[in-house]
Amino acid sequence: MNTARRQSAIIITGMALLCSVYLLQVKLLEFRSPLLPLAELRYLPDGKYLKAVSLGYEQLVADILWVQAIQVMGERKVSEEAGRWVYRALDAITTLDPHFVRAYDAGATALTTVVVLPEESNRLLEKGIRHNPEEWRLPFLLGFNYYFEFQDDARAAEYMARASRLPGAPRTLAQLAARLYAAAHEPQLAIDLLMNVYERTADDSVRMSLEQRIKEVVVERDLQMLERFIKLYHDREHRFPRRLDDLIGPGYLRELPREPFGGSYLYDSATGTVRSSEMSERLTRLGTRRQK
Amino acid sequence: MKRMAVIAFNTFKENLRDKILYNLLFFGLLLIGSALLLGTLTMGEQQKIIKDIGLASINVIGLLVAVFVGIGLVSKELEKRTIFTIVSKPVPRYEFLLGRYAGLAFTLFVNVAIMTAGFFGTLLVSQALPDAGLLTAIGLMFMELLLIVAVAIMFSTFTTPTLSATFTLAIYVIGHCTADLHALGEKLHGGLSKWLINGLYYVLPNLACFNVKGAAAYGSPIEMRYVLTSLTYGAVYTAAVILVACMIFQRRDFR
Repeated sequence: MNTARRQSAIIITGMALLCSVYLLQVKLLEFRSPLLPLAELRYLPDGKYLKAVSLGYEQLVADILWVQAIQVMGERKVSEEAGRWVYRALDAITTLDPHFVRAYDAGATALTTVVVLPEESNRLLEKGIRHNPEEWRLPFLLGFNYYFEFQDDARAAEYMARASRLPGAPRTLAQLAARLYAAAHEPQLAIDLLMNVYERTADDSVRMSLEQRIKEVVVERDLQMLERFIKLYHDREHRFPRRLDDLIGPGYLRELPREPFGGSYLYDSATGTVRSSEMSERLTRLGTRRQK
Repeated sequence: MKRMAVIAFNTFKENLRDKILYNLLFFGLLLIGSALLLGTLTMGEQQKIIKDIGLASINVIGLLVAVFVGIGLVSKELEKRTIFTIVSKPVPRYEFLLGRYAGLAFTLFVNVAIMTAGFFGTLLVSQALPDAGLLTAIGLMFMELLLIVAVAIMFSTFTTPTLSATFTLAIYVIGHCTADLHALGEKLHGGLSKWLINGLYYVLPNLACFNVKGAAAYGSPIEMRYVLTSLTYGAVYTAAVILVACMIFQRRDFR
């Protein structure tokens, strides 16, 4: 065989092998569990054991776990079981690296947004506060959880106030705490709080779910307002308005609120009730927090 | 073919002379020691732990032999100048390389086979039944070792033994993390970086596909189709690496 022919034979064999490697890799992907990152978290040992075997590279191991955990947290909806494994991973990460503030911060937010595990979220934040008493965001988020998830205004106010005294805390935080002390369960208060969290969140997936939550609260605020005016109309005219437009005028509304999801507010003139075309369920009326 | 077989057999004999198989003693002590020590634990746990330790030590010992003998196959000949007596004979260089590879592969096969026998013996003594799943896991492990040997030989055709060992171990570690690379590629929204990451994912060896140790130790079923795909993947990848090694070795100048 001359050199040229041998070379082309080698090149063709090489190409054929590379193509086969590619095709087989694609085939192997089919066998992978769709929940692979989660499946990996499932076998995760406890943080204190991981610390022993990470041979002084705790931060590095924490970073690798963190990257895997945010793959799961980035999903739109996560099952409760998956959420528990995420909590386990977050607990291991923060045991390995107790000063990993971002893990407490984004992790606790994810535990109340992509899944509903407020107790776990609180536990994570309390651990974070123990190790990082100077970080205002951790007591702030804990206060937020007490307000939104547990309807415990007193404790919410306590943590908000604590956060507002720490370095770097925004000035509005003290006002928020003050308003919470007054325990006025207005939807606007919830919107202010959510906006505050939204503005200091960098994580896109968390921001997206917060945006959703803010819109839900806006719908609730609008519905409460419309109901107030429908009642006022009924008290004055002794009948329900025929259309929502009847509520525009002196002594009533200047204009009808816009549905934030892009839908509309549907009104039933027979019963005087109003609802959003985009949300099947109402948030709890008082305080617009998550229902227990 | 005959020349290759001669080189392979000589490689095997050379490995035996180098007392490679002494590692088996260590393996035996580890297994028997853990089986005795764990005797106080409950039956079920003891068996699972013996399975875990057995599979892990077959893998680790095999890996160490594959890397540290693999990198010496070519460099030792260069160092001792015995390569000149071979390449001056009518032996094509690729035959020399393939022969060396086959010799080490056979050494590894004998090594893994003896370890497996010892492993199954320990299982029988501790009243656990060796099952086909364990054999499947060891088979896939052996494919992984064959791939690693090929990588080690490829590096040793153009660089020093120390660097070859470092590179090969690095490839081993990276090969077990390619799933993360794929996940990363999926999260990226197009562009050069996505293309690059995906390219790396397909070019680097996917060693995680040979790892079914967990399923085997728990006795969970392992899909036959998966095993066959993984084995084919390993064989094709190994062939590609050896082809590259032969090409590099063909052009190398010996001084």
